[in-house]
Amino acid sequence: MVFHLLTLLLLLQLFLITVDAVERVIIRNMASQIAKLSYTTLKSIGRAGGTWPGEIALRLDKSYLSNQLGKLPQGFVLVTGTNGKTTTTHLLVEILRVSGLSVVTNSSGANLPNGLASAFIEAESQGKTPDIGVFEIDENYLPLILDQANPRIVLITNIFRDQLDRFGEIETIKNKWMKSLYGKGIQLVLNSDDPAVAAIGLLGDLDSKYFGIDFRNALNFTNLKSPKDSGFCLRCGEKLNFKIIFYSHLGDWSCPNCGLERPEPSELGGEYSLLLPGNYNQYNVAGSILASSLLGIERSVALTVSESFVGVFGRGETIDFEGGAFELHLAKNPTGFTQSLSEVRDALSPVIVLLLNDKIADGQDISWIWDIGLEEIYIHPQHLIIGGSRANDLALRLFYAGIEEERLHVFDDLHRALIRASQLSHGEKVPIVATYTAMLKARKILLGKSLL
Amino acid sequence: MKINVVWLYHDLMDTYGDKGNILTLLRRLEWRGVKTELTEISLGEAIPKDTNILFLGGAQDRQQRLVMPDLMGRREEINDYILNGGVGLFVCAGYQLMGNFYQDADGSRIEGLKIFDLETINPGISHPRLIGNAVIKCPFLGEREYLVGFENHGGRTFLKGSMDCLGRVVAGFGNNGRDKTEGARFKNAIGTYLHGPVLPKNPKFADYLLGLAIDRIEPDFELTSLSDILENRVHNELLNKLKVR
Repeated sequence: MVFHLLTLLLLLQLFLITVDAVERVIIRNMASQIAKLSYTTLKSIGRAGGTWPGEIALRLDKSYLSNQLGKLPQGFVLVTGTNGKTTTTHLLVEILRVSGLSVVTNSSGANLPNGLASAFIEAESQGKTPDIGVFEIDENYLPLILDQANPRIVLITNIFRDQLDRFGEIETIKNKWMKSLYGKGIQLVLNSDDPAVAAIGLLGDLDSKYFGIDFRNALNFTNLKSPKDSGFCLRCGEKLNFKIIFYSHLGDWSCPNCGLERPEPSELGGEYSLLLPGNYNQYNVAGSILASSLLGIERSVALTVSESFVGVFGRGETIDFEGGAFELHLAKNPTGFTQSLSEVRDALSPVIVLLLNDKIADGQDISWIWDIGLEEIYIHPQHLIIGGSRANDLALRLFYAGIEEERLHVFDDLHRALIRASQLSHGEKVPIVATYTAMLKARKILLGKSLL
Repeated sequence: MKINVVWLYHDLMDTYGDKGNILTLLRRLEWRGVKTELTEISLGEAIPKDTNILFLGGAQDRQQRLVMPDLMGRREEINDYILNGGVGLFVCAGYQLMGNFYQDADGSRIEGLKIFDLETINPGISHPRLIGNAVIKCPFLGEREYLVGFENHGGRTFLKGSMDCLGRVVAGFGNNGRDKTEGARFKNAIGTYLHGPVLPKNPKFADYLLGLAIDRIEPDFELTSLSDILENRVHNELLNKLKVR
């Protein structure tokens, strides 16, 4: 009797385990199918890309992303940091594609886990079987992805103070990264000129290669002043010495106290002749070239691709509109803003558009606009068209920086702002410097499309 | 007459756009034809005898640790300055450090300058930080006058004894999210959690501080009014957004 009961229980147990396992397989397949369906649906109503397909997949199957990452024949690369992720990622993808590889990547800067998952769904829906992946990942989510799968390379562009009400301090992020990278045999590609980033390689027991600017040819650079974020030694806390600053806290640094200093870069930037605007892109190119060479790509190929690269979604991208043209620059922190403004300093356009939003993705605390070194920049265009949800704050900031009130035109309506800018442009290309969601909205208007 | 604005630890305690507060003070004087000087003080440098306005801002943890020994050594210097009616603005970390102590989640205490009679307790990461737009009513600035700004602090500050607050909370959390006070006032020194930064979008408050400073050296001098169109637009926009008016 007892024996029969036990057998029954055992059979019941086995039955439940089987059902559970089958269920899981079904759900796993379903997850992928449902997610692909959502992608196709969204695409058909003109709202392609974005993060919803990935979000759905992850909710139905928690291991979706780790499975997909694990299946890539040549593994994957993660790109993180404060500025330059999207350009570096796109450039690296371009280099790999030109070299004949099928690459899966998150294209629209959707850099949270659901963005990576969406990238796989998109590739699958387009019938692609990627060889390798290159993904930009938000600073705070690097550890999460490293928990799920091991990349071949992690590239870190820089750490800037950014959106203080959202993210932790520079040290905290650096320590979090180091902890999650330890003991996994990942190749690091690091910016030698950023003390906090270089410290990850110098202080951790991690395999690191560096890219930086060739300061021996320093005379060719414009030295812009911008507030320093991490001008302190990550080992002993002493204020760092800089022989030369390329911009903000990036430069030839050393600690006068403990001797920690900028490591020798394997890839030297500063002299690339690029179509991409901005000195800062010298770093993005150097990082991409170094990462690609570690993946076995010929440097000459990487160099050629880099020098003909014209820019990405919102990063120096040019869009024609109403008889004029606009060049989009994303800026989400003082340094990015300063760099974008320096780029347009020599612009011929008599008008520039500046857009400031304060949604979550932009950073709700906009006090950083007072840290932009506006006093040291001469803003050449006569007319400043100002828009976004915090346009008035930005106008006030510019006023205190010495821009006359007559030059400041604040607009509630972004469409009208862009039309007015076209009118004032006299056919010259108009620069737009905008925070993230404002740039998305501007792009939507300029292209007449909608992006999730 | 010259007004010397002194920015203590400008290199180590400069977060959340503190520079905007300094800029506001300087520009608003210059626009009235008053001569200004900006003195930036770092570790080991003395606060000038002719300081007219003293400013101490916010800091990240690492920078605050570096500053503490130097700041504690200045206790007498700053206390004398305040007791003699010196004008000062202390924001966020600067505000907390002017108090008796700052207590962390584990109970450990950082002693403050003990110039403001207040204490700050941080209940730890299990409690939400006090973040968001804030509006406080400031009767000493005038009838129906408000200060607008943005706060972001984990520490809950409690005023002790007869410490005056800067204002009463109309929107947001203020000092501790409980007693509806924000900031503190003692003689001509003011502490606050408001940033944004606080002075550009609160022109009356900026002029109040300037007036206090000028009063001590040239009592007959009148600050002419500025048009403040852009300032008031920002100020009122935030008031409307938080449905205060």
